[in-house]
Amino acid sequence: MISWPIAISTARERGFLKLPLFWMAGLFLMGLFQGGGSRGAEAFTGGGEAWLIFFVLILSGGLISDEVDSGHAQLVLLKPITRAQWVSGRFTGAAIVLSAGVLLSWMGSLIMAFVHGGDALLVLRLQVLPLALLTALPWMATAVALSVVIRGWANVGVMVGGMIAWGISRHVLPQLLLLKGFDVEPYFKAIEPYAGPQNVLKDLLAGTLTPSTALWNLFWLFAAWTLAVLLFDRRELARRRA
Amino acid sequence: MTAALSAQGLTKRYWTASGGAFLAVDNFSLEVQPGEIIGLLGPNGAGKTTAMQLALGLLHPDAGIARLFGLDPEDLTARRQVGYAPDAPLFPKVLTGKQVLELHCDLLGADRSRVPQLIEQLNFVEASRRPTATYSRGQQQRLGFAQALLGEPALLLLDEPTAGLDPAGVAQVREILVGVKSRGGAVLLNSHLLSEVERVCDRVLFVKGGKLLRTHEVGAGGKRAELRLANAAQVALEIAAKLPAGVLEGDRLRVPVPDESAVPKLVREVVALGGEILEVKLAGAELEELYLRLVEGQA
Repeated sequence: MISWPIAISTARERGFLKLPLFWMAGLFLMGLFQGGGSRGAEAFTGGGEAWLIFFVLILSGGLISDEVDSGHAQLVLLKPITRAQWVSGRFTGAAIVLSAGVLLSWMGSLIMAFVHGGDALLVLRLQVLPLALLTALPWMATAVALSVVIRGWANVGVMVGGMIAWGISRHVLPQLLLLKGFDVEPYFKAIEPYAGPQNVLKDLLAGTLTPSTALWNLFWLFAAWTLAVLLFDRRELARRRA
Repeated sequence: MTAALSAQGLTKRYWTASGGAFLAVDNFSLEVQPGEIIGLLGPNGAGKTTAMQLALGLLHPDAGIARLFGLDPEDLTARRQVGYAPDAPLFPKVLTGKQVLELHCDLLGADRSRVPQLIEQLNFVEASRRPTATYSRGQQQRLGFAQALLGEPALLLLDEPTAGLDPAGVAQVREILVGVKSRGGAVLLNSHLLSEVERVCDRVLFVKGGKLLRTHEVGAGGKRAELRLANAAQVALEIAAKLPAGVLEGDRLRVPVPDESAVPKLVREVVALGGEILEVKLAGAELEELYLRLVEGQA
């Protein structure tokens, strides 16, 4: 299902660029200065959450389309691998770099917990690693699916646009409509848990983490991944030159 | 014998921004047998690259069918036997040439020891250690060619393989193509270099406007001897009288000959007429004329 040579090469290709390296350093600092609390999940909330999501976007910008547009995807897919293996390999490669970034942040938070002499229980802290990935990977799968059908880094633009549009709708629209006498806040509250992948670490800190939220993220991850594979299976691989 | 590549009635339309249709390939058929080198000749935009990509299954045809070794182009068994080098290939910028070749080697399941061999054979040892972002057009072309040769493919499709290469590189490509043919491999070559096509190809397909205009057996129409004379003006009348098939243009006399064995006799005749020969060359007689007549529409 996954082409490991593609995954390794993608991790090498994405992980050694200046921007992801800078962002990884930022994740480490977030861990140091924000994640020294009892569980370390704080590193991925507030500013840390935004930093993590942008790291995802940096890693998955043009992840599929850049390869197709350059023509390298044609050469690779003329080798004996399936399109599904290639898409999954690209996704996995970017996910490997993401995992490295998450691990750095986690290590930063662990160091700070020790420095502060606080509760640095490793077992409790370890659960932050899979949960951070469970928050970030569904976003990455979404960006990959968009990259199959949109050129260049436009997948990042669409996702940022979507997030801004949702943020404005969620926080401004109910207030405006309330002035006109319509109370839509309960409806927004009802759909919010299904508006994209959820930050399960926030729920962990609030003590409200339920299996349904984690399952929703897992569902989103596999749905977006499957969609990416299905869409890529249908598309042509060569662009007509200008 | 199963053809290495067969295509029947391939047709491909592109839709323009204004909603009109542009017929890039029109009812195109061809067959490439093992041990054969076929050349595709035509002007820019003739549909040669699109035809190749249709044959490889990279593009979906609107009509027609393509087969690689009798199998669907998407079949992994078929793809294991195919090498493709596109025109002006691009590679992941941060990877070195060697890393790119190792990746393609791993995908083929081939032995990585082939990578340094090819790097040396194609003469880009120093460049192979650098990221491909620093490559010149010629170096990218060599890397693209090398990845196509990795699995010792039974069918090689090359799109302008000599574009951007220096003369030594062009000679290397020619040598490799002859090697592929000698081990029974098939080659489909898309090139603008008539002289190269003439030297290595068994058959040439002339393409224009997406249509196959004509198939030409290289060498079937005989060859042409070209003699450069020091005193062409002085012997022009004698040559016109004694060698009516010859055409004198400037200091060059072009004479059709059945094969190379006829050249010594021709040289003796020209010397007997008083010609002082500076240089003798032998070329296919018809390819250039055919190209100009069929493709460029010149009389």
